[in-house]
Amino acid sequence: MSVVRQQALTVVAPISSGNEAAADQWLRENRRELQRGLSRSTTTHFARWVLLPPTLDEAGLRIGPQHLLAFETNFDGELPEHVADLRASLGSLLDGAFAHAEGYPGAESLDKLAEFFRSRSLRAAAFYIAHGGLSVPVVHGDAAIKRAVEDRLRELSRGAQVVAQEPLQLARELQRTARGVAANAGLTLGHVERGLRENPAGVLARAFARPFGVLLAFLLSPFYELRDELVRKRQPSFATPELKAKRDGIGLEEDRVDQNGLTHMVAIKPGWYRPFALKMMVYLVTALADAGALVGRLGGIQTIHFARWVALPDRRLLFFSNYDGSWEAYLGDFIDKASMGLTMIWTNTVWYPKTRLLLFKGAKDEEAFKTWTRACQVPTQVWYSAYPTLSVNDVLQNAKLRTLLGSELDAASSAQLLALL
Amino acid sequence: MLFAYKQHPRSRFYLLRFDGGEPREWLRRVLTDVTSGEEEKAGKYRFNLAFSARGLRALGLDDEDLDTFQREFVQGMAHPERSYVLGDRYADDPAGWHWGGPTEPVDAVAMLYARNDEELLERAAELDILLDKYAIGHRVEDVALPEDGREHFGFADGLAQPFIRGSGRRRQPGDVKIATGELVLGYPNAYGLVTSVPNAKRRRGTREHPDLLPGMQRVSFGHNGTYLVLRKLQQDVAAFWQYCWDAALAEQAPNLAERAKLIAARFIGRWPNGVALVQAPEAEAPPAAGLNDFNFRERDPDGLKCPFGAHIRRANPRDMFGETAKEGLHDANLHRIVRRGRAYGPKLAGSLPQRDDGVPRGLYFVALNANLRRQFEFIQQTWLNSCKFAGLSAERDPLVGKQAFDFDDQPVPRIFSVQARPVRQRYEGLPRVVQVRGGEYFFMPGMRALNFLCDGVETERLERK
Repeated sequence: MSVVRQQALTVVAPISSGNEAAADQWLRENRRELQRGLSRSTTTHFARWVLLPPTLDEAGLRIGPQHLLAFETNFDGELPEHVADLRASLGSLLDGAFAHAEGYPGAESLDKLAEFFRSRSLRAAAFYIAHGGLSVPVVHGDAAIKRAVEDRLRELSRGAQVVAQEPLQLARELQRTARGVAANAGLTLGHVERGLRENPAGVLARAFARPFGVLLAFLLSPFYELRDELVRKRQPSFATPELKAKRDGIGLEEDRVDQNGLTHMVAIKPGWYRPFALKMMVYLVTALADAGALVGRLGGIQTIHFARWVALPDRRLLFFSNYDGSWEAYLGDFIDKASMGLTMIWTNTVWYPKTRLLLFKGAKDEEAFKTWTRACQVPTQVWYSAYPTLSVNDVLQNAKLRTLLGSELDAASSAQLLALL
Repeated sequence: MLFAYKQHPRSRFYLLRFDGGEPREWLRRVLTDVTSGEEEKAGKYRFNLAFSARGLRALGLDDEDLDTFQREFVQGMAHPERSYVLGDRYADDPAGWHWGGPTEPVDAVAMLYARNDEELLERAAELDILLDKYAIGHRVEDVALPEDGREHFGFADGLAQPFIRGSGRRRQPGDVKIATGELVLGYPNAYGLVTSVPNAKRRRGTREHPDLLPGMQRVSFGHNGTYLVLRKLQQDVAAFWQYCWDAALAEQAPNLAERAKLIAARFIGRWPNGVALVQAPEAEAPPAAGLNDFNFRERDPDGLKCPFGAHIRRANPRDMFGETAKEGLHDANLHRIVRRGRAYGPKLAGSLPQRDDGVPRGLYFVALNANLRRQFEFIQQTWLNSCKFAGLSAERDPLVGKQAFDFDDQPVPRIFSVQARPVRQRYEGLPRVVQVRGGEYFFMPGMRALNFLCDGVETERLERK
């Protein structure tokens, strides 16, 4: 079986002026419809529509005279098939969602729609996947198999206890159940090739391909960090009524289910150095992550399904993340487990907490980092998850279970299998 | 208040309402009774005061002042955003609370602790006179430290407390030391930083006020203060034990009472006498020294002694997460609170399974912390109420876990897994045995800040000078 690759789509288009409120209202009112439509899609893991308002740069000037509409997905396979799948599952809803996006051709012609998505899409500067190689149908199938196995266990129980059986015998019994369910529902049982093997030589080559640029970025950082300290005296308050209202709005929509989506946007600091340093740091973080081959973990964080940074042409840095659990736990993980990696990237953006040598301090200033993150968050009009009740851990454990259920069982593997339940 | 007041088992909590009264005059009169940090080592009764955001407003703090407090406190526990975070929905919705909800707001809590009933009644009588004199509305709850040290379900409680230097409490084996700033504002916290200290516009007064902030006409109001969490949790003791009894019956256990006790102990993670399951997994052992002297990672990596979902793991996972035990312990210690719970209502009598007598009983949960969101709320949201805790996938705390609803608004069945060989056991259809009946976030000011609150608001005159 061929490997199904996961990709990131980020479509950004200006909203025709004067139509921001209408676009916002339409998206909010049709949130449930869009989510329902997307649940028919077989290639979409996560998706969101979000209006990106103009933001202020360091000098207090507005970036972006217009609101932008961003549509992002994490999808399986290749873009043309994904667009066709979106069109088939959303139908005319697409026209509503993009009604005020400049250059939107309508969903009538698939070719034109695909061309719009392609031409308006921005490449992710860095893209993270926790469960690469597992397509939406596989994730759903794995969850269905787990449910069937749990139901069988219940049938074999007296009260809370499964009636005593040899482990191997019990595991084989569950295997029979899984085979029956998989055959009936056309689900995959056994190993799915995920294409996770990295070429170590290639990773190393990439890690050392730009030593000069990376070094230069670090060497110059003290001068620019000194400058930041002078600028910081002019830092605007994060406690303005507008920011408070935004915070309230975001707070009320968070933590409804076991997952959350986060949209974050902030201006890059002025001058040539910061975009350069950002590029070098994104490159370094990516190379280090690859070299560590941290499957299922972003710098030690095990709760992020997909995340990406996207640089907008107008010197703004966008961050999309789909994570398990609460915002507070997520930010805590950022600070405790990934502070350096995040600081390397975000220190190049305005009002980020005081940093030393691109690496140190920064996110470690707990309260300042949390306040800054919240202030830069953007309320998301529509957010969709194909499996809102599954954590990264669930997805990976279910995949392991499916692999074991499809294998020839012995004493060791049946013990492993039973421990996954 | 840094003490558990074990010498003061009798107590009365007053939930105050300032509307139409003279709270500042009242405060001025009772101020000398408030127990300060230094006085705590002496005998006598204890008296503590803490204020909700509403109460501080009534005492003259304005929006600008309140903006310097934590957002969670200013919103109040009954705010819809907090309800989502805390899981206070459906049966636990603030609309149905006895106090603290939208219809019964609370401005302050006065906590009176006495060594015996006689002292309690004597002090309470004095307090009642003053409350009436200054027209302070109040609701009274008698709460106590149970004589046998066990809460209503029958389990020894309050065993795991963090140790804080300078708190005066003796450090027990296994108590983890946490930074002073995790409990009191104005000191370094677990990150080595100082959690923001609320400040307020300067006032003129005769007493000793908090220090002025350099270069500003504002005082460091919150210095030496802390946030106090109060929740009234009603316990359905009969339903809890009935479930354990029925579960033992369904397993056809030979000794129902013993098996029911084991099932209950697995929900909790400790035996009724307080001995942890990781120390005595099979049967209740006599309590040895060091009831808190254990960790999870080494003693029970697979949850075979104490289930992963047990209440004591969810309330304080100790060293179970992280790459190493040290890292796990460090991370867990970013989310500790000091608990000062007290019971209300009489113990349910009778032998197992008990019949409900219809008398309300439960726990007044009291917690102190410097950062509501990172400490109290985190425990509630990310540990107790998370269905993804410790690699579990569909269950919440067996005691206090919220009722979850699926996308079709159907209640999600409550389950509990017991890790075992060859395969886990699973308890299904758990009843909800704890219901939230009231709650609010309060701020407990230091002595100087209390002085400040008593003094008149005369900032205008100050500004003119």
